[in-house]
Amino acid sequence: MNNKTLSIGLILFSLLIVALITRDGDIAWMMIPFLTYLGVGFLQTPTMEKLQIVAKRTLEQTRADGIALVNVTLNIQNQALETVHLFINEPLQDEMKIIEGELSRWATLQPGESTELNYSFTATRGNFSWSSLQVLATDPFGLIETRLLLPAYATAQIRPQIKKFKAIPLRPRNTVHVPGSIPARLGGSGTDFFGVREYHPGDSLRTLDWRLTARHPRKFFTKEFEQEEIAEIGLILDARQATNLQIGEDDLFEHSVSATASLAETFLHQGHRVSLLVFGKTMRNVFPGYGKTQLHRIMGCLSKARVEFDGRSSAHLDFLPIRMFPSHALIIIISSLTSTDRPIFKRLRAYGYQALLISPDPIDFAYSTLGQDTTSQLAVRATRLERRLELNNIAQLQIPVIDWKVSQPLFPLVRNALTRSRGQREM
Amino acid sequence: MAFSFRKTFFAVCLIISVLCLSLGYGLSGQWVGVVISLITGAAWLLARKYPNSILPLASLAISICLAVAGNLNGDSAFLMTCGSGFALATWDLLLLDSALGSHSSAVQTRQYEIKHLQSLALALGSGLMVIFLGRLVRLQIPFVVLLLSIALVVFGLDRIWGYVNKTG
Repeated sequence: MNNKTLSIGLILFSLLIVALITRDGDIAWMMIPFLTYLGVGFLQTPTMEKLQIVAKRTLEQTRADGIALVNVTLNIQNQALETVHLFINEPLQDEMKIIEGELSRWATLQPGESTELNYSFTATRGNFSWSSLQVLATDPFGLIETRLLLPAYATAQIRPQIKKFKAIPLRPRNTVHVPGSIPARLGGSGTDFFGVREYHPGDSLRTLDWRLTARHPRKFFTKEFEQEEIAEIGLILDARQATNLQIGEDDLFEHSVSATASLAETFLHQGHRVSLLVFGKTMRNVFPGYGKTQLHRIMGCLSKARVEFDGRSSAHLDFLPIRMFPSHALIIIISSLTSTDRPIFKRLRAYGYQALLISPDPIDFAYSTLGQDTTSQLAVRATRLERRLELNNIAQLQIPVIDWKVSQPLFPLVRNALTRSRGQREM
Repeated sequence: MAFSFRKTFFAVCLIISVLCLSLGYGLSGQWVGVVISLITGAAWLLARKYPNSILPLASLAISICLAVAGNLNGDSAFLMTCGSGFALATWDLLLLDSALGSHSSAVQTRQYEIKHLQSLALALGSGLMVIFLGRLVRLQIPFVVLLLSIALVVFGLDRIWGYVNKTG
C-alpha cells in the first residue's frame, strides 16, 4: 500500500467520522466518488500469479574521441494473458553519467506486447553490472503496487583510455628465457652474430664456422648467435590519495591510469611478461602473464582502480610488497611521489631490481588554477625546487626518472629513459 | 494528442471543482467561502509546480474541508459533492502529470495515460451517477435488508483487505 492509497483511506475515514458526528447524510454521500475511485483501482490490480513479465538487457559499447559510450537497451515483454500497467525503473549506478535516454517509464502492455527502454551512459572507467530489473506492476491509478525483480543480467567494462605507443626498444639487464625480441647477451639461436666457440657434438653443421675451422686443423668451431628473449616487467600504479590531485573534473590519477594502461598494452604487444600492482587503500594486483588474456586482466584491474583515502601508516610506498615481482623484473613505478617515498627506491636497488620512475607533475597539472601573485609564484617555485631535489635524489640511485607533465606525450620520454637505462648494466 | 489530454483534463477538473465550490457558497451569499474557493484554485496551480511536496494533498484536503463546511452550512449538497469529487480528479491528474513528466513519447506510456484517464472517468462518472441516483430515488429499506447490506460491505472490505495484502 502506498502513500496515495493511504491518503484516500485517511480522507474516507475522516469523512465517515464527520458524517457520524454530525449525522449528516450529505457528507456520507461525499464518500462515494472516493470509494468508486478505490474500487476501480482495486478491481484492475493484477494478481501476482498471473504476472508473467520477461526482461532482456542488451549492451553495446562504443568509443569515440577517447570517450566510452555504453548503449543500454531494455526490452520488457508481457507474456501474461492480461493487460498490465508497469512502472519500469532502472537505478543509476555510481559514476554513470547519462548522455541520453530515459531510466524510468510508465507503460501499459497488452498481452504479448513489449516495450523498449533505451539510454546511453558514459564513465571515465569502471565495471558495471546488472543482475535484475526492478518493475512495479500496478493498477491504472497506482494504488496497489507489486514489486517485481526480473532477471536481466549484463556487465560492461569501461577500460581506461589507451594511447597507442610505438614499440619501445627495451634493453633490460635480465631477460626471461622465452624467445622474444630483446637481445639477451647470451649465445644461442638468433639472428645477430654473437661469437665463436669450439664445436660440441650435437651442434648443427649449418652453424659451423668453416673459415676458422680451416685455419685450425683437427678442430671445429661453431658460430653462436645472440639469443632474443622477452623482458619481465612490473608496473606499479600509485593510488594513494596523498599523491592524487583533482581539479574540476580532471584527475591526475586518471592520467596515471591511462599511462599504465598504455604501457601495459605496448609491452604485452611486444610479447613481454607484464604484471601490475595498484597500491592504495585496496591493493589490487595482476600476477605476471603474457598476451591478450593478461591485457584483459590488467585492464579489468585498472578499470576498478580507485583513489581512496587511507590514514594508515601502511599507506607509505615503503610498504610496497615488491617481492611479488620476479627478482629480475624491470619495475616501472607511476607515482607523483610524496616526500617520504624515497626509501622504496633504495630497497628496489638493494634487491637488484631495475627500475624506472614515471612521476606525473602535480605542480604543472595544477598551475592554471594557482594565483599569479608574487606569493603564489614563490610558493610554486619552492615546491618545484623541492620536487626537483626529490627526483634528483632518486635519480642518484641510478633509477631513470621521468618528470612527466601530463599535457606532454609520454612515449618519447619512456623510450629515451628505457634506452638510456641500459647503461646501468655496467654499474 | 494524448500528451495534452491529462493537462486539459486537469484544467477542466480544476475549473469544475472551483466553480462548484464557489457557486455553492455564492448561491447562499457567503462570499468568504467564494474567495477561499478561488484561493484554493490558485493553491492547485502552485501545487502543480511542486508536485512532490505536500501541496497537492494539502490542496485536496482544503477542497474537501470546504465542501464539508458548505454541506454543514446548508449550501447545495450536490455542488459540494461535485466540488470534492472533481478535486479528487484534479489531485489524481496532477500526480499523473508529475509521474509521467516529459517522458510520455512511447506508445505504451500513451496507452497507460489513456487507460488512466478512462479509469478516472469511470470512477468519477460512476460515483457521481450513484450520488445523483441516490439523491433522486429515495428507498425505504427494511431493517433486515439494511443489516444484510452492512454485512455484505464488511465482508467485501475483508476481501479487499486480503487482496491488498496478497498483491501488495
